Amino acid sequence: VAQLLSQTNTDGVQSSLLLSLDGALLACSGYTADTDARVLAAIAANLWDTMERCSVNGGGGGNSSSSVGGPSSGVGAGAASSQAPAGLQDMTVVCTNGSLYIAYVSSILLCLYANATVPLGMLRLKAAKLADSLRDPISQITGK
Amino acid sequence: MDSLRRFLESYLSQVDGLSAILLSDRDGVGLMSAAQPECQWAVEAVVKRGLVPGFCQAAEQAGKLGVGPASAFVTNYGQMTIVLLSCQPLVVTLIGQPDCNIGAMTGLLKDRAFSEQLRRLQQVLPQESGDAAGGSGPVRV
Repeated sequence: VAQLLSQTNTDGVQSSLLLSLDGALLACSGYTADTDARVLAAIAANLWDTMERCSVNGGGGGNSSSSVGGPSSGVGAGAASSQAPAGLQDMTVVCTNGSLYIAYVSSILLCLYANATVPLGMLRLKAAKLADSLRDPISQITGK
Repeated sequence: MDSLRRFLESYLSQVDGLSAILLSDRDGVGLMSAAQPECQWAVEAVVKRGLVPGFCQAAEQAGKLGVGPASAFVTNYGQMTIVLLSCQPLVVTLIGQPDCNIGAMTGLLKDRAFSEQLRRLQQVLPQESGDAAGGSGPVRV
């Protein structure tokens, strides 16, 4: 998994992480500057949970399947899933010296940590391609 | 106030996919909003769900990432994309279609006229001591 994650760590993308919804680090590849990868995972999960609770289209309190709106299936939406999150699908945190992209992929979170030189669109595209590669294997493991 | 609303409404047609603009303080209290008629519900939902206070709380957490204070969040909720911009003491919430031009939305603060309007509002609002939501950082327009 780490080897697969490392494929996105180019051109300013410093690290890629897989984490559970409660902030536990599952896999990590790359450099996270002065921040411990486990701390980064915890912060990312906290950010996700905070914004997910404020979901404006039927979510809140977790990635439930109830939805006011249409179908959603996270990053690289293609294959619909009956258990896909109805609320937050992905988020980008733009900071002064870097960015953090978090996406929901088959019941876990994918997080990319990049410096300020990376365009947000490229960060999102890399995450989408990585998520496409991870979705089926993760679904087999988690059963979701 | 009407002129400010009309000013904000002018951007709804300028930015591709932008459906609504909400100006509020960090507690989520709305100051001014402009929305297309069919998207007024989204503005009300944003206020009701407390998205802006949630953003401020999350931005404070994001400041611990080690890459500086958070200046913006781009969130994809499936039905809509919401961009939240930190402009102490204001928060600009931009609600757009799923395929909206996110780059144009995040770059709205660089628009001279828009930033000038924000600067005027920032001057009349009480400043808060910098602790949360990018307290030491962005964005003083």
